[in-house]
Amino acid sequence: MAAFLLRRLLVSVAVLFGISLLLFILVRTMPGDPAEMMLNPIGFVGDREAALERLRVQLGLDQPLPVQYVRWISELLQGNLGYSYADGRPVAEVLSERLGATVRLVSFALVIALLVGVSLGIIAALRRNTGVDYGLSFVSLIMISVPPFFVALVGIFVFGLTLRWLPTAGMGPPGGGGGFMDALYYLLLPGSILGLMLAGPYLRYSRSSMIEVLGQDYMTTARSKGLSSGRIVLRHGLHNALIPLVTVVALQIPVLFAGAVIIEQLFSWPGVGRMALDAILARNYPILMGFVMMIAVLVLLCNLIADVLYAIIDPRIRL
Amino acid sequence: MKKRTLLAVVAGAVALSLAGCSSPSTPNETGSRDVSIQLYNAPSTFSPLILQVGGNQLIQTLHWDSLVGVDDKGQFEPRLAESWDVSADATEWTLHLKEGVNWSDGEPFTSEDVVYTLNLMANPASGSQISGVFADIAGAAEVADGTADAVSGIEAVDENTVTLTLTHPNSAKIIDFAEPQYFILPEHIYGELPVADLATNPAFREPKVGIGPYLFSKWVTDEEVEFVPNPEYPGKLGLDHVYAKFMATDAAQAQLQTGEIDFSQVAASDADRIKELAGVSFHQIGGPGIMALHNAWDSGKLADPRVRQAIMYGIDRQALVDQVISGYGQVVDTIQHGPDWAVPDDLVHYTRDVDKAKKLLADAGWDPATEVRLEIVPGPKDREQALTIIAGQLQEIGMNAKVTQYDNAALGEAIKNRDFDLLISGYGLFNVDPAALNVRLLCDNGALSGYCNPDLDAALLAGIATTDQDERAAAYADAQRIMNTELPIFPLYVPDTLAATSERLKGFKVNPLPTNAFWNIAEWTVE
Repeated sequence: MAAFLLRRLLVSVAVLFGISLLLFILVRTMPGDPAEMMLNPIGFVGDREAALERLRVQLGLDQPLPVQYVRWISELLQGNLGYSYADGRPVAEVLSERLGATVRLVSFALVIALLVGVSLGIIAALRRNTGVDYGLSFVSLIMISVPPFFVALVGIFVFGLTLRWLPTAGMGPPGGGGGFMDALYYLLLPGSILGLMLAGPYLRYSRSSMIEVLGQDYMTTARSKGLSSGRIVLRHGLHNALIPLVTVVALQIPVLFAGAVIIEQLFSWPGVGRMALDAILARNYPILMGFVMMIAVLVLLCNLIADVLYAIIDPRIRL
Repeated sequence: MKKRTLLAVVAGAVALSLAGCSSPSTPNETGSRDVSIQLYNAPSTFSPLILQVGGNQLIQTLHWDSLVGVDDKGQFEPRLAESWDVSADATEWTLHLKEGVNWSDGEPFTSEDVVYTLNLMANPASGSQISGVFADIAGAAEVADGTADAVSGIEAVDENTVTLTLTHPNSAKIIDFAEPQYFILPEHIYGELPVADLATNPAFREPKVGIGPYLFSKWVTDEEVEFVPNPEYPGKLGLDHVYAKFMATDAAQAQLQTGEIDFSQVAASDADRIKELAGVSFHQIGGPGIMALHNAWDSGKLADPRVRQAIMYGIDRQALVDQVISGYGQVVDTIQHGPDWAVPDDLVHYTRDVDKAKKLLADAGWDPATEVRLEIVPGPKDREQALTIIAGQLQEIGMNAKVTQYDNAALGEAIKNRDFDLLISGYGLFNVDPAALNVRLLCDNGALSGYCNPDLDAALLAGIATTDQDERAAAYADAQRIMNTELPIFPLYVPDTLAATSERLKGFKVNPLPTNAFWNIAEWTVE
């Protein structure tokens, strides 16, 4: 295991370097000049060219590209992700603030998705080819097909405006106060909607995985031993059925971070997805590159965790 | 059974926790004097030196203050400058500052603060992106070049008086400094910091000292700012906390209905519905700006005035107002649509006339194959809709009109290359003083339209050369007539400014400028 981990770590570092180079090249060949974006041509009074030049020097955009890359990567290695063009704050600070918000949303959504998806999937597997199964397949189809923004708007309208049960936007009460219950309250609507959207695939995965497991020999053995069906399913079947799911979830986590952007937008949730979107539109390079590098690290980490977990759970796998 | 039991337990816990929860802890419980307000744009800094955008302007109105402001009747209101006079030849301005005003740390506000701030703003080396308005102040050019440290034309005569000496007469100079821009900074706080790049100094992110009614307290998130009352503010303040939060107008309107927010902008398409809501007060006032089409006149494509008039006759502007902004606005014949004395009665009113438009195009020898691009930076729905309608109407009169989408950077390029046909944009303060026209239309101002007409220049300059209102009115009448027939800018309509407040909020008065919505927050109270 140790050798495996070391090898993976070295490979990851090389991969990250490659990503940073590719990312830099791609982002900078994108059309758009952040200095131009910051000085609205229509409103500007005075010598705009001179102001643009000054701005470019200040942001370090006047240097040749390789110099800018070297400067950026060397600062990155020292832990300095640069400063946002929008408000001059350190990128690391902005990222960590917004990341916390997204982590909250995404982990809540993941829990809901797993609870709903897995339990319904298992029920569907156990009641395979009956009305319940077809019903649940239809439900999962709806979950996968209906766009999240539609569900979000309906949710806001029903639970927020009409029933007044839940808040319509934001992460907490104004002023940032409020305790755990307040946080949960604001999390409920966006988190549940995101979770339900995610549950569809999990439902299908766990259903098919469970069906496969139920057909295995050791299940027949357990049944012939006279064990109750509940014990069979839970004790013998479930663990094995969940193994592929572990991989799916681990690999999907980085996708979740970027994918929450629509929900974040609709609920004014101050998360990392919205931050990235704004950064793209404004050509806020430091934020954008910091964000993508973070996702890259996350992807590599999640892949590693998935592999290790798989090995731990399934003794047949030797790393 | 374990899994089922677990599920049941979790479900039960969730249900219990929800049941145990009372309604959301909104600030609007009875007795609370906290107010939440919407920012339609994300705030980033309290630095008044960088190019202002809505979110920053709105938060800076609370913490800082300007020399003058414009009230909801379109009149100048004194703010830090109590009164002002201008010499007969309009080259010397004297600002009399309010006396007995202190910064929030107890230090007195004096002319030194004003001189310091204006110098910073005039000096591009500080990172100031708003130095343009100082071009006609004596000594500013030398500071911009780097040959002088301070602007000689800005002088503190005594503790409460500042004089501005201009290189050219300008009887309306004061409007350049109107709120929500050109906020005055405390010299005793920032004076010690190096001038170079001061505009983006991180100290402006969390200013400790201010002079406005509500002071910065903290960034709750990077989109929400908390404000607390200024202990040194002259006058009684009615609120305990103000939470200014960036939120899309849709979300803000929803929050207004549930009572989670006290102020929100209103989109024209929702105005009819918001008006009818119980518990919500709807506010409407004629806007100060203009929605207009801009052409790079110097590119020559649409240089023939007959073509330009044809375009105006081809567009049904009333239909635009009715369809795009649900009637919440009005058609105007000139971009400077107020005050009354600045608008002559005899301007041509371009009501839609397809035949006339076609005839004008024929007279001008217009080649119908020429592509006319209707440029837009997509985003604001109203502009997109307006442009689509206009495209159809122009095609009807025989123009090959196409909507073309640009992003900000590409637009900057196009403007630099003087290559845009009909760019839609809305902006401006065009109903307080006609001097606002000067920066847009004088020949050598580098204005967007690139239009240059010596007669118009003469009229516009005559308008600011005298302080006599009748003389000014005559000069601007000439200018307006030229603009009306030559059409350097195509005026479409003036959208109304719409806002909504919760019933508990009292004292709110809607300001025509959306970026100045909190101009009288010192008078707000809650019940």
